[in-house]
Amino acid sequence: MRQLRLDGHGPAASGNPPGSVPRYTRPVTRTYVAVVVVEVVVLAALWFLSRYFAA
Amino acid sequence: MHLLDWTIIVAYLAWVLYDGVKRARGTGAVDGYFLASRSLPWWAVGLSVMATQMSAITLVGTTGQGYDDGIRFVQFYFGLPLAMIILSVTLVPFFHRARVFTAYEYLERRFDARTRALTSLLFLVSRGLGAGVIIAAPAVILSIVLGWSLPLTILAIGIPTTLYTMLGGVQAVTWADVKQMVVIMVGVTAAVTALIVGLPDDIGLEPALHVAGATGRLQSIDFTFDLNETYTFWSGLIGGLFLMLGYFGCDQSQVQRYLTAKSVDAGRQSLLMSAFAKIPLQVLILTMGVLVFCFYLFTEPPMLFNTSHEAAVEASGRADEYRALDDEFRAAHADRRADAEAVVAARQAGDTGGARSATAAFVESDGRVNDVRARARDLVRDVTDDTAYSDVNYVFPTFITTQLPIGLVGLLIAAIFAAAMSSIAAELNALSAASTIDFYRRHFRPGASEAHYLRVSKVATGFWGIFAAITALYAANLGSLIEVVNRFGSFFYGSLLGVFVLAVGMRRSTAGGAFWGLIGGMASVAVVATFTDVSFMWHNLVGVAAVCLIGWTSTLGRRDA
Repeated sequence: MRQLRLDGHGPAASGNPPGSVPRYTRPVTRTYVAVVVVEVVVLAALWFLSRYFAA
Repeated sequence: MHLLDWTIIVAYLAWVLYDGVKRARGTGAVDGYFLASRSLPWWAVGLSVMATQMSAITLVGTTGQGYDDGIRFVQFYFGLPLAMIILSVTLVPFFHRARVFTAYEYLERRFDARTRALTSLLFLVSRGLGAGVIIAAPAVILSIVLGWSLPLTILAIGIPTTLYTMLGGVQAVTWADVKQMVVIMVGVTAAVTALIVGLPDDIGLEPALHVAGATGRLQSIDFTFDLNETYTFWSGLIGGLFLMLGYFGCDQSQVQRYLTAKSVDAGRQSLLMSAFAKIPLQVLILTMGVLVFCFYLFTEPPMLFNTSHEAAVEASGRADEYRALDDEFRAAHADRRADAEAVVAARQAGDTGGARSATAAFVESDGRVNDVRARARDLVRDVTDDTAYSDVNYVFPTFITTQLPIGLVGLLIAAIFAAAMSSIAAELNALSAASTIDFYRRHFRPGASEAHYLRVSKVATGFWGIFAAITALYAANLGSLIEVVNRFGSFFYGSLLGVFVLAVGMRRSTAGGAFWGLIGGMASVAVVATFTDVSFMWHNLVGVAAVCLIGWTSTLGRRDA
């Protein structure tokens, strides 16, 4: 809901059918989480490779 | 270069120009010219965002940096993914909802006309001069590598870019960016493959990377917290976060990219594409530089990669000194090669003690090679008066033209052209949008017809293209001017970000607070940059903090009143 307010769309005005997940919330939030997960994995891989090739 | 390579370069330039001009058919109004009528798919906008950020000097300079210093530069981008998430949640929906052409237009709705005019003017000055630098930097390198004159190289980059941007507007810019990003990716992949294949038969990729790792070139993360150190984990994550927020959230050349997306979600996805891909892409490009280093461990490199400067020193009174350094360099390189082969042999034999002592010898001989190169660089700077000369920018183009097979040379040079053109086109389009929408339509000729504004927009694009080319001719010979332009930009973006933070996050902030906050923020950054050794990575954070403090103070005054 917080995100809907930031988008400038009120909950009732988003045009989504009753009971459905609001248009902007579900897929984008998942993508944000995926971005963070991928970054952590990439940084961990870089750290591991740094140590591996320095040995 | 071979005829086939020239054919590839000319065919690429002709293809981009033809396709860009073809896009002019779909551009009949200002909304179409600057925003593609908000109709573009997220993936095209996402590739355009990435192509715009990757200038030729990023591609060439980053590879050189990988060669010289390793991959630690990647830390610069650690804040980017988080910045993209924050922008997707905040500014992207705000800009889309406001239906604006420029980021600065939004500031008039939120604050007042003078805040909009000041921010847009600062953008025009900063990016107008910056566009010249973006052409000049690769033109200087390509002119030396290709043996062209500097004006001819500037025209070869500037004319097609200005033409397709002027005629086709943002549609042409975006779809050219898509093609250019594909050319860059194909070129980089081909170069990495060629580098791996080009290693000696008895030395595979992993042993070569172990040798490079012994010099610290694969050390990508430094957890030291030091404000004066430029590339650390913390400066990248925190300082870089504000740097990227400023660039992607407040620079019209980037904002205009995601304003062309067909929906808020498409705008978000276009930014999130960079969030996923940017760090791996930079690792790939930096690793390409490390692989060039590995390649030149076993193949004798030139002492310095800028052949033009070498010729100037040879013709000077200090030629003997340079030749003595060259002899010393060749001897040091031969020692380094033998030591690198000893490291690989010891590792392959499983001789841990031998590998350790061979690695120590290799690090010592690599240090001698670097020392000779540094002395040669100082000699070149003395003789040519090119005090800003950095050899790293010539490493990759020289490698391309002297070591890669026919066909691949043309592809990689086309990729460098592509990187240059994609950045310049976005700048020209954004400069035209800011000058037409924020000044001409707002202050000089409000209420004119769409056709009139469209004509003015095209003329403005052409003007900025010519301005950039002329600036490039002068910028190429004025190292200090380039530094001034870059420094001015770094003063500006953090403070501008602060104004947007006030606009979006502080509801009680006033127009006066934003205006004086912007000026105070820039002054704060100028003081920090001039009187302290704090790295530029933290300057945007200083600007944001100063603007927010001044803006918040102004709300206190308002409440008291």
